[in-house]
Parts: sequence; C-alpha cells; structure tokens
Amino acid sequence: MSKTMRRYQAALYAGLALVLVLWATTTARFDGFSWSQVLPNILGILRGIFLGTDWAYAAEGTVKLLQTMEMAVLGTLIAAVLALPFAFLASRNVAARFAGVGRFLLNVIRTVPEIILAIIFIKGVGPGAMAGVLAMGIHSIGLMGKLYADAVEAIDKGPIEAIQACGGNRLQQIWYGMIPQVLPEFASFVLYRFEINARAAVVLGVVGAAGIGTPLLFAILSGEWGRVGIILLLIVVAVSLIDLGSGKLRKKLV
Amino acid sequence: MSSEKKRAKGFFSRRPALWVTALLLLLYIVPSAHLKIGPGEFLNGENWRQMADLVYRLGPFERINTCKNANLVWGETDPEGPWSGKLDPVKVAAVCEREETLYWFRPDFLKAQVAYVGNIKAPLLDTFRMAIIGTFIGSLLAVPAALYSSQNLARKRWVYLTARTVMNLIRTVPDLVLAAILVGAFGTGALPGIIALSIFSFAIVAKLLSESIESIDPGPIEAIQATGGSWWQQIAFGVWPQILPNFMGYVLYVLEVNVRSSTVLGYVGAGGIGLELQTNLNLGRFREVGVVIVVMLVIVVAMDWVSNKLRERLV
Repeated sequence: MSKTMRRYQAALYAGLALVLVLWATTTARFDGFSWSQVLPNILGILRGIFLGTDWAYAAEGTVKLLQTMEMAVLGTLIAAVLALPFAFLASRNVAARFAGVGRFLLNVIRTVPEIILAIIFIKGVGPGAMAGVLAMGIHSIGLMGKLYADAVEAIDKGPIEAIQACGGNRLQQIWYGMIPQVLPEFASFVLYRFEINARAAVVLGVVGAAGIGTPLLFAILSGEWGRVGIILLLIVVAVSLIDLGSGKLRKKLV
Repeated sequence: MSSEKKRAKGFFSRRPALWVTALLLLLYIVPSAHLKIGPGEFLNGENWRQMADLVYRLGPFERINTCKNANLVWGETDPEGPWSGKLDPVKVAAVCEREETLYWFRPDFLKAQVAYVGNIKAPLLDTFRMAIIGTFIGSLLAVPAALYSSQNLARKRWVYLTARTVMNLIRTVPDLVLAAILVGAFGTGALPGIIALSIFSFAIVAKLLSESIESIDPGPIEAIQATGGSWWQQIAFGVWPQILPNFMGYVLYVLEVNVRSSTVLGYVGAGGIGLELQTNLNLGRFREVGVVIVVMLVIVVAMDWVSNKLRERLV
C-alpha cells in the first residue's frame, strides 16, 4: 500500500471516529438533570464515603468479603477443571481436525456475559452463592480454555515423540509428555482468572448472588454512604492484595 | 540447609499429580463448606427443571399444562364413561395430580419478539452512546495523565507515584459498582453510565499508555533536548509519534470493553439496554428478557468482529 493510500485510510478512520463521537454527543439528552439537585447529592455521597465511614460494619463486611472471595475461588476452580477438555479439543496438535469445533465452542461460551448467566442461575437455584459460583465457573471456561489451548499448541514436541517411540498410547503421551510442560502456564492462567473473578464476584453479589455485593447494593439504595465507604475500602484492599500476590506468584511460575 | 531444601523440593516434585490434586481438593472443600454449597444442590433435578423452564420461557415457546393421567380422570369421575357428558370439574382437578408441562414453538411469538426489538431502539442507541462518549472522554483525559504517570517523563517523583496509585485504586472498583454509586448521585439515566465508563476507560488507557511510554526509544527525546526543545516539544515530536499506534490500539480495546459493559450497566439503573433487562425481569416478562439477551449477545459478537478487523488494519 502506498503512503498516500495509507494517509487516506487513516483520514477515513479518523473521520468515522469523529462522526461517531459527534453523533453520540449531540444526540445525548439528559432529562431532569440540574446542578442544584445533583451537586448536594455528590457532596453528601463523598462526605459519607470518605468522612463518615461506618467502621462498625468492618467486621461483618469482612465476613461477607470472605464469602465473595470464596465464591471466586470456587468459580475459578470449577472453570479450571471444566476448561481442560475444551482446551484439548480446541488445540490443533491434540484434536487435529476438530480444533475448529473446540474454538467455536469456547467463543460461544465467552460471549454470554456472567451477569446474564447469574440471572438465569438465580432463577434456577435461587439467589445465593451457588448461582454466582456456577455463573463464574461456566463463563470463565471461555477465556481459560482459549489460554490453555494456546499453551498446549506452543509446547515442545520432543517428550511426546519420545513416549510415542517407546510405545506409549495417546493418553500416556498427554499425561506424561504434555501435562508437565503446560502445568506451570496453566497455574498462571488460573491465577490470572482468579484476579478477574475476584472483581466479578463482587458484581455478581450486586445482581443477587451472595457476598459483599448484596449489602453494598442495599447500602447504595438506602443511601447509607458511610457503609458504602467501608465496603468500597474493603473491596479495594482485597482486590489490590489479590492482584499483588497473584502477580508475584505468576512471575515465579512462568 | 541447601541439601534439606533440595530434599524438600524432591519430596514435592516426586508426586506432582498428588500434590496438585490435594491443593485443588483443599481449595474446593474449604470454601464450599463455609458457603454451605455442596454437589447436592448442583445435582438437584428440581433446580435444573426450573432453569430449563426459564430458558424455554425466554424463547418463542408456548407453555401448556395438561393432565398426564387424563384417561384415569375420565374413568374415575364418571362411571358411565367419558362420553356421558357428565363431568365434575372439581373432581377432575382433584384427580389430575400429575400435571405435565408441554412446550410448543409458536411462530407468532417469534414475530412478537422481532417486533419488540423495534420497541427497544432508544435504549439500544443509548447503550452505544454511553460507550462512545465514555471511551472518548476517558481516553482524552488519559493522555495527559499517562504523561505525568510514566517514570521517564514525570518531572516530580511524587506526582508519578500519586498518579500511579490513584489509577490502580480506580481499577480495583468494578464498573458496575461505580455505576450503581453514580446512579445514587445523578439519578437513573445515561449520565451516570457515561461518567462510570469515562472513569474506567481513563484508568485503563492511562495505565496501558504510561507503560508504553516507559518503553519508548529515548533517542528522539534526547535529540530534541540537545537542540534546545522544551518539555512540550519533546512530548509532541519525540514521544507522541512513537505512542500513537499503541494509543489507537488501547482506545479500540477500551471501546470494546465499554460496549460490553454498557449493555449490562443499565441493570443498576445507568441507562441503556440493561435497564430494559432489569424492568422486564422484575415484571416477569420473560419473552422480552429473552429478546434483550439475544440483542446483547449480537452486540458483543458484532463488536468483537469489528474490533478484530480494525486491529488487523492497525497493526
């Protein structure tokens, strides 16, 4: 492609982006918005969150937070196990011609947002930790299966061929030649997904699964901003700690 | 000490499968015991029946309740036989204990569902509007923030440290929670959604951009510095051309994330199609819920496709 062509193309995309932004900003209408109403609201919320933090709730909040994190652990664990068959089905060096089917399945699973899954499971098993765990467990298969499959496709063929040469069957090739190679990477993906799920579990609580999300939603709805403050603080601390710890572990693993 | 350590390592590496299994079991048993959820709930057939029922009701199906033991009812309620014309409805209801639920595909339901897509055009456009404005404001503000929060450009160390910390803290709050709080401040509508997405895109783009600024080639900056260029000239001619392709990639990525989350933000009242989902769900209008879910999935898939195509062009 010539340079002028590239220039034209860049200008075209820039123009398109500009049109989109102009459309969005000019057609947006904010009915019933007035600074005189919103400003005291914002000030009240900020005062509640930062100054009137409800420290008395810290103990109960920690228990709820622990529930949320346990949900994330279970959801990640279920996905870590359930993603294995999908991953092998989706990697070209194991499933050969059927790899396309596996990739397609993983894409389909990934498309359905966790919240939608959670809503369906809440209708099924009732509101509670189970619905959240199932939603995370199923949604996480999509990304983890894809990462697993990429890792499986990138392995060294040597050990597998050696086992094949000694007369090992397909299962033995996978178990002794492939699994030891990919296990550290798999563990790293599991930790990465746990970081994501720790955040997602909070959101699932807001929708109706158990954990810290539920009291957070109630506090927001009833305008108890001091309680919102302490819950937010707990979430920020927990998620930061998880990010930090899992980042360090992942660096050691891979 | 070192030999002990080696032996300990050998102890664990001799049976890796055993240790991995033990760890996984521990990670399963402790939380599930605390949360009081066991496999029993998962294997409960009633739960699956309810879920299947919901999934059916989301689709273009009609539900009919019929008597499975209909013959028995006829025979027992009337000794003269089913053709006598004498039937006691109370007795029929009492005998008909085993109700069976049948699901039928109804083409006219599908027509109603397609018609409903036209009804939710306004919230659908609101969803895209929220995502676009949020991405625009967030990435625009992220550029100066990224300049101040990258180690090789920041002129003061405390500015760099505070900027980094603030951005990391913002990213720990899930966007739906942020939106819920902003709904409390601004009331329901697209505005809290736009602000939540702006804050979120700001934090993501600023972080990614500052990381790529830190890995740029210092050559051009030093050249401009050597010829007496100011800090702003160094940025404009030494840094900006180097990070522009990265920046465009990040904006695209954030747009993709924002379109995804703007579909569900409405669930907490922040405008868009998620609001429709929540209202219909609360009113028990499952057919409409099904339509909204399908529309959401179409949006996500389409956005994935578009951003993949654009990314191929960019790189």
